[in-house]
Amino acid sequence: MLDKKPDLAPAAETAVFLGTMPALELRAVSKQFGGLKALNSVSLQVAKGQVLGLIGPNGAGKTTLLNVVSGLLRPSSGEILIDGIDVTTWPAHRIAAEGGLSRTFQNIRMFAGMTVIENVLTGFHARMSTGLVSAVFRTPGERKQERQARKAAEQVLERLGLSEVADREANKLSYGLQRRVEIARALVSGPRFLLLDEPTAGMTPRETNEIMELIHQLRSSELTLVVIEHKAGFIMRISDQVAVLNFGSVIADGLPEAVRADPKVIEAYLGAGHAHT
Amino acid sequence: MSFDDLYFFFVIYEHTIATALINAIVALGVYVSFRAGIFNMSAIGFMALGAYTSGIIALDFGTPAVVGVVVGILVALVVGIALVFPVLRLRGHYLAIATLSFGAIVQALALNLDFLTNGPGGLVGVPATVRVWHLLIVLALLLYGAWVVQRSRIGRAWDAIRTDMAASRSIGINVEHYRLAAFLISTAMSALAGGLWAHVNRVVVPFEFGFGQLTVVLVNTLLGGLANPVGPVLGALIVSTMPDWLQQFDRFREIIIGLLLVVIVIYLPNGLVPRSFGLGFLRRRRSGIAGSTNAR
Repeated sequence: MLDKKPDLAPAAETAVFLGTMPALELRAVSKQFGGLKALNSVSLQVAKGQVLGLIGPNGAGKTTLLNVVSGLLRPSSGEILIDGIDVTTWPAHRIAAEGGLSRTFQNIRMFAGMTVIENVLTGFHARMSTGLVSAVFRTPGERKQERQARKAAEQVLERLGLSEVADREANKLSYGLQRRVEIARALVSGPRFLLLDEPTAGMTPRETNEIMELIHQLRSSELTLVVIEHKAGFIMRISDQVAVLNFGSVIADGLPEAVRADPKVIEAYLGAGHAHT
Repeated sequence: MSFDDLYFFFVIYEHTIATALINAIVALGVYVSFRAGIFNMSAIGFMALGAYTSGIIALDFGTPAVVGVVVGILVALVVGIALVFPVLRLRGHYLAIATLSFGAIVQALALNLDFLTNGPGGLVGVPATVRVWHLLIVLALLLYGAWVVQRSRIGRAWDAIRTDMAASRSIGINVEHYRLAAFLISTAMSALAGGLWAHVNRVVVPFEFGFGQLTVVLVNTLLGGLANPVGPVLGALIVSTMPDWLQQFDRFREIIIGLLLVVIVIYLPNGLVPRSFGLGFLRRRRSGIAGSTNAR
């Protein structure tokens, strides 16, 4: 590929097959770290209730993409839209609270020292409004919210099969369980978008299967999922739409079967020469 | 022990008790910053600001202590707001150094602004109108407030920010907002303690607001631990009464305090008071002891 055109074409194709207004849209998003172009004019669209699988070799810019979308990094150029609203300049906490976008991290980030239920309760933060005054005077509103938070946390723990470890210290659990707690913490606020950054990184095959099952369970018409993965087989099975990043650019975007057969993808993964085999 | 004995005991130790209670208020202020993960060393600086403001107002205008104390808090908050924005851009050690130098600046100003502070001689003759029971009420209210706040959404947000800022942002916590609030609460509590101190001690001198005092404040806060607000209060009460129950070692007090800080940081990073402070803790302790008996 010597002719470097801006990668707008794949996104336009996606829009045709989605048919509706995208819930999450990236328009020519770039991110530059000094001389390194981590994201090069990335355009993507995800429809509501769909699962977008994001794959690509190491250093392709997948995590940077997630950091930009969740507001932890500001893009160098381009726009990010949630339900058609431009959120490019929103700080991360606002994207989470008002945009309804939750995420997990590649290297699990538990709140150390907190129990499982406290971690999950903290995830309910944006749904509460307790201020200093209502906290000090323990107003009825504050108590009610606190009860709601606890109920929501207990429900999500139950749903993810974590009720039994609710009072254990979260960062002392097994890796697989910690990942579940992290997903529970992201889910408790009832987000409309859930971004999972390599949810099966460092997991045993059994734990990987459990997480895959969990992602299947999470699917609903109200929740839009973006999942980053290394394991191509895993991503093909869970996704409705797959996008492939390589050197910061989207090299393929579409239905899993189409992406799997794309020569550019095979080349990125296996190197030139395999494309026609 | 008759009532008279008790009365004399109180008269003799009143100043020690009052000092201990004031130290507890400062420790509680430092605790709020530390709980939010802000390595804030400005406590003594703001305490000096509160003490001088309160003392000057009492001496110049003859108003009751409460006026000076409140104005002291307001002055500290104004300075705190000016300080907080540049300071909170910093992290960890850098923030500690910046706030440490703030304390040094306040002390230098107190030493040199003679027209306002009377220089090294300090303010003398501030009416000693603050009594132990006043301090007890103030401390009890603050302790209650700190207790319920740390158990609320705010406390959880502070804990989250302390352990992982990016993860906190990603669940919708406005990190800057909560750090700002924690810093200003610490500021107000330090200034409050300073203002009260002026009316307990009668004298406000610059030498009482130096690095040595800051070390004591840190020991107070860390000895009890950050797990809950009872920790710093207990730590302050223990350390502040130490000179009296270790009277023969009084000369070595600063050495003992310094060593204590080293020992705490190395061997007792979580402090004395456990996280779930109450019956649950006692139960766990007892079963632990039973376990060791069985093993033997």
